[in-house]
Order: sequence, then structure tokens, then C-alpha cells
Amino acid sequence: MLNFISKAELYLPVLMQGVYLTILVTLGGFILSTILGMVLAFMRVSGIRPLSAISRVYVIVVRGIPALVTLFYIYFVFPDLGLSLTAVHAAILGLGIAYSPYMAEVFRSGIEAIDNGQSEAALSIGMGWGMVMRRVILPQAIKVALPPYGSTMIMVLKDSSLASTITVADLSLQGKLLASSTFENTTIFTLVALLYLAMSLPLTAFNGWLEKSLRQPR
Amino acid sequence: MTLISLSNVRKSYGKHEVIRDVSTSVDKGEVLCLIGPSGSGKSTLLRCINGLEDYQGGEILVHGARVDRKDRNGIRDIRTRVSMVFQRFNLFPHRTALENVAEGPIYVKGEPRAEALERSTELLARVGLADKIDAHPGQLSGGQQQRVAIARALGMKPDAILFDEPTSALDPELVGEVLGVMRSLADEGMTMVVVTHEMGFARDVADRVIFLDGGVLLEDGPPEEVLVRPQNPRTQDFLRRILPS
Ligand SMILES: Nc1ncnc2c1ncn2[C@@H]1O[C@H](COP(=O)(O)OP(=O)(O)OP(=O)(O)O)[C@@H](O)[C@H]1O
Ligand SMILES: [Mg+2]
Repeated sequence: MLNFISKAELYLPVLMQGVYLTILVTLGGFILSTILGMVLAFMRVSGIRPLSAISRVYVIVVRGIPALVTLFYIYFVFPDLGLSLTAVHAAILGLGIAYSPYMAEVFRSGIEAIDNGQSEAALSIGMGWGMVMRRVILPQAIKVALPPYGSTMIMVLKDSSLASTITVADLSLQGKLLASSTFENTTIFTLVALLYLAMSLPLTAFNGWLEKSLRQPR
Repeated sequence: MTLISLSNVRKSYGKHEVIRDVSTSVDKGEVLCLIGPSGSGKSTLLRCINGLEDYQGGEILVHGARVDRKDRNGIRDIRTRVSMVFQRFNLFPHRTALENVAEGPIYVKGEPRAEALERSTELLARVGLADKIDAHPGQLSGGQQQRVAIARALGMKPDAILFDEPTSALDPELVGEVLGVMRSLADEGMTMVVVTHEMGFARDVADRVIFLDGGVLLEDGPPEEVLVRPQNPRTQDFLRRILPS
């Protein structure tokens, strides 16, 4: 154990550089997939046929492609189409797109969980669609959507390790490089696992706190 | 003065015709009760009047303006004039009783907040809930929730209120308090269209009763005629089943 701690002290600084990139890619992926997911969910429930069809098809197609392949596509194929991105940007874009269908489903199921009578009551006092969403549906849907949103966030964090396959020196890649140069597999991969866990725990805690504080005003 | 008029209204879900050629009208200050067996199209007809459903034929006019769901501004305007009270209350569970009532005045009508809250407080007092203004719907009984819903409808200063079986979801002992509020509204001259199975209410309060069966309007007249001396055998049959003899 002492041995592990002294070795950990040695390797942590290098791994922390990876942590920085992992957080960057994860945050970028969150934000992008959340925005895309919201847009897709709104399109889906808009009641406007073409929009809802586009959203439905997008979800089916993108969800059916492995995130890894999406990343490869953006990093290796887009340049041929004239769009060259840095590895980090490609990773964020790829993760954001790959997770947008999951986010869309999280938001959609939240919205659809709200009883139809709610929007009817809101419409019947003269609200328009936007106001019905903003003032009546979303404040309730958010409570339903939070737990699955939290799990999706953690999946994004874990899958940010896919960025390593397109040369982003994130935590997983730093770990791999360090392990192959030192042969300290056990120490290093244990550290890598612990660091990922250390990043996901605050997410879990944050979600728990959000859920609770949203449930408060009763 | 005619407030709501329906002429030759038809509505179908796919091939299934649920409203067949219904014509009637509601005058200002009139209380119209709509009765009929389950599935006869009572809710559908009511929901067509404020555009929660569209209809395929005929015409519904409110204040002379055609109810048309495609005319977004027009339909919103009509809905602010014709409020609706639902069987299952449909209060906003994330807002207090007061906020439920003030929601429309503040956010739809743009009334100054302080004024809207004061008026909403008065409306809640009027339905006997002065002490419940800060309660959330989940903390109220069904009867109390339905009274909040009536206050919410009144908050829009409507020309008419549509009620869809407002007491059907209530425990029997809570029906009276809601009917009481509705009676007092009728006494004050509110125009009301009420879908109900409460024949006592229809007999005492309604100015007119219409009987709908299979989407067809079979009776339209004062309660003493429709309820006591119905012409149509189907109406006689329905009343025999629903009225304890
Ligand atoms: N959304 C819908 N899609 C298809 N059919 C429907 C829909 N809503 C109602 N119907 C049908 O329309 C007919 C009339 O329904 P409606 O709800 O208006 O009856 P009702 O008189 O209010 O009955 P109840 O007393 O049970 O409330 C029924 O046959 C019903 O099955
Ligand atoms: Mg009904």
C-alpha cells in the first residue's frame, strides 16, 4: 500500500494532464449533446410533421452508429470534405453528436410523461405552444428527466475515453502510454480507474442535489 | 344575445363520426346542460367550442368569430374569453393555488402582477378557499382542487365557462361544495355550458338541457321538458337508467 502511494505520487502529475483533457472533452460533449438533444426533443414534440420526422430519423441513424465510428468519421473523413478539426474539437463534436440521441430521448420521455391535461389546461387559458412548454411542461418534465440525464452524463464521461483513439491525450491515453513505458500496469490502471471514479462521483452527487432541490418547493 | 352558436357541426376521428350535424346556441347569461350516455360526444363537443379539438363540418362561432384551430391568434383570443373546467381538474401541480389562478392573468393577459394576485386572492376567497392560497394542488382534496380550477377559469374574466363533468372525479361527499359554487356562478349570471350526470343540478340550475346520443342532438329545451317529458324514446330510456325511480 505504501508502495502504491509513493508510486502514485510519481505518476499522478502526468495522469493529471490527461484528466484536464478528459474534463474538457466531457464538458464539451455534455454541452453539445444537451443542446442538440433539446432541439431534437422539441422538434419531436412540436406537432409539426416534417420536424418530428427529421428528429425521429436522426435519432435512429445516429444511435445506430457506434460512437467510436462517429469519432473516426469526423476526424478522418471530414478533412476530405474540407473540414479539418483539431483532435480535441473532433472529439467534442463526435461525442456531442453520438450522445445527442440519448439526450433527445431523455428530454422527450420527460416531456411526454407529463399528463396531456396539463397542456390542455394551459392552452385553455390562452397560452401559446412556447409558453405552455416554458411555464407548464418543462418545469415538471425536468424532474422526470433528471435521473436518466444524470446517468447519460456519466456515460458521456466514460466514453470520453474514446477520444484517445483519435490522438487526444486524455486520461485513458496518458495511462496507456505511461503503462507501456513503465510496465507498472497495476498501479497505473488502478489510478486511472480511481480518477474516472473521482470524476463521476461529483456528477452523481450534483444530480442527487439537483433532484432534491427541485423537489423541495412543495 | 347569442354568445356561442353551433351550426351543423360535424366531427369525426378517422371514419368514426362522433358529432353528427349538431346545431344549437348559447345566449349570454344562459346555463346550458349537456347530458347523454357515455361516448355520445359530450366532451368532444365541448372541446370543439374552445378549439381543443378541430371539427370537419359546419361552424362554431364565439362572439361571431369562427373557432378555427389554424388561426392561432384567433383561437387564443377565443380561449381567453371561454374558459374550461376539466373533469380531472388539471391544476398545475408545481404552482400554488394562488399561482394557478394568477397564471393566466399575468402571463397571458399581461395584467400587473400585484393586481392579478389581489384579484386571484379574492377569487379563491369567493370559492371558499381563502385559507388555501399557498397550498399546492397535491395538498388539497378533490373538491378543493376543482374549486381552485373554477377560480382559475374565473381569473380570465371569461364571457362563458365550459364544464366537462366537473364533479365526476369527486368522492360523493365533495360533489356538493363544487355544485354550490357553480350554482352561485349561475345566479350571478355567468354563461355556462355544463356536461353533467347530476340531474338535480340540471333540473334546478339549467335554463336549457340538450341530450346527445351517438353524436346526434336529440333534445333541446327547458329542463322541465327534456328531463320530465322527453319526446324521444332514447332520452326516456337514458333518463330511466340514470334517475333513481
Ligand atoms: N382522441 C380520440 N380518438 C379517437 N376517438 C375518440 C377520441 N376521443 C374520443 N373518441 C371517441 O369519440 C366518441 C365520443 O367521445 P366523448 O369523449 O366525447 O364522449 P362523452 O360523451 O364525453 O363520454 P363520457 O361520458 O364517457 O365522458 C367516443 O366514441 C370515443 O370513443
Ligand atoms: Mg366526456
